[in-house]
Amino acid sequence: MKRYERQITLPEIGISGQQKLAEARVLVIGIGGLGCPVLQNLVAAGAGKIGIVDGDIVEETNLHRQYLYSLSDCGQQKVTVAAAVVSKQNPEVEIITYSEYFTKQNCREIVADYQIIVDCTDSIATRYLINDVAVEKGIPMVYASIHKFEGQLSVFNYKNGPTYRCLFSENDRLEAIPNCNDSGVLGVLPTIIGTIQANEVLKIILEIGEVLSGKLLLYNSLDNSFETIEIQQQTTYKNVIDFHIFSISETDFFKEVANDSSLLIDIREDYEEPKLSLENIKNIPLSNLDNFINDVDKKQKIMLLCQHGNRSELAVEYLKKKGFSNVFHLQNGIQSLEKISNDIR
Amino acid sequence: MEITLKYFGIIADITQKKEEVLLIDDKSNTVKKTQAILEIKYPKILVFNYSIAVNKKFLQNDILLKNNDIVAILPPFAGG
Repeated sequence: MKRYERQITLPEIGISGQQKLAEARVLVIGIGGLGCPVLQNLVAAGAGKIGIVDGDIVEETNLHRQYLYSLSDCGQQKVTVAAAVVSKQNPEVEIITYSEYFTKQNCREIVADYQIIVDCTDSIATRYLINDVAVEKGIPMVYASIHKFEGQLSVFNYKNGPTYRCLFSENDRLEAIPNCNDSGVLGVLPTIIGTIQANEVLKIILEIGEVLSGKLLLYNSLDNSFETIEIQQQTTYKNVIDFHIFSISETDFFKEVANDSSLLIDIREDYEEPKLSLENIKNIPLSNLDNFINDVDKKQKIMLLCQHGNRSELAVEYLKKKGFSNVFHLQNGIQSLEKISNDIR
Repeated sequence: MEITLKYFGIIADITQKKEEVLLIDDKSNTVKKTQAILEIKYPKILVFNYSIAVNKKFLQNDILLKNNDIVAILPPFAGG
């Protein structure tokens, strides 16, 4: 406890606050410019258990703003290096690493054990996913993102407060927003914003101060301006990402074939190789799928396949919109089957 | 009447300024109409998603603007 003496001295914290910190379970998604200061601050304050999620490796261009990493770490998994560095700073904190990206497939399993999610990602699509998982699980999401010399922060879904979808409803203008790699960033900015993010996490755990819920905080490092804008609760944000798992792995695919209960449809064009030599598979190119599907029972289990899994994923979405409730696709496509099967020629 | 527009993130990159005063017709004084004027003035804005706040409150519906209102044009940021 000596380590925390100076913060325990604060009447707002005390022994009981330190106990709350020791019992806290926080998930930090993305260990880059924002994730590094978030993680360092939470570890130093003695947050009990911290999960870190990132599928990326350390690159030299990260080093000017991601201070957990050194030149000799380049090429290594970020989560592995980050865990090693912060564990040295404070061995009392339990660090759980997930060296993968946060996806529809793994999101529920990863968040299962945590009570707060910190969004430090650089992808808007992932942000919506984090938001939806947080809403589903009923836990707060401490959000921040940056653009050049500006940062924005808020705490979403805190005690049923506004969510990310209340601030930015999803539309098809989405993907054009550039991230740091494209638009540039000076290292101090994510460090400042990430530190404020960590402060919000600590306030939530300690139940002190005023949490940044229902407000968006804007910071501009060039003129030192801070501004807050009120976010209103949307009542119609139920349009959440459908993260029911509808993709299956190569091994599960062969189980499905053996079961013989699914309607297997290869949606590739006739000229595409390799052919599948499975008996019960239908070849219906994507362009004919609409016609074919008209005569199929909407409850029939359907398994779609294409070359890499991209077209089949879109086709799953399409069939779901048409009312088919039991549709799956082979996640990585027919190419992924080659390694494990002789049924392809 | 006069409306102050404040720009953030990629929108400020496009307008190349942080804020400006817009003179609008007293009859076309809704947020939607101001947004249309803005997108005509800066057509590059059209491809981006953004939210609009008036006097430090994000809006869900179109409202009438008053003289000296401050309208913030705020896109999501992506960087982390």
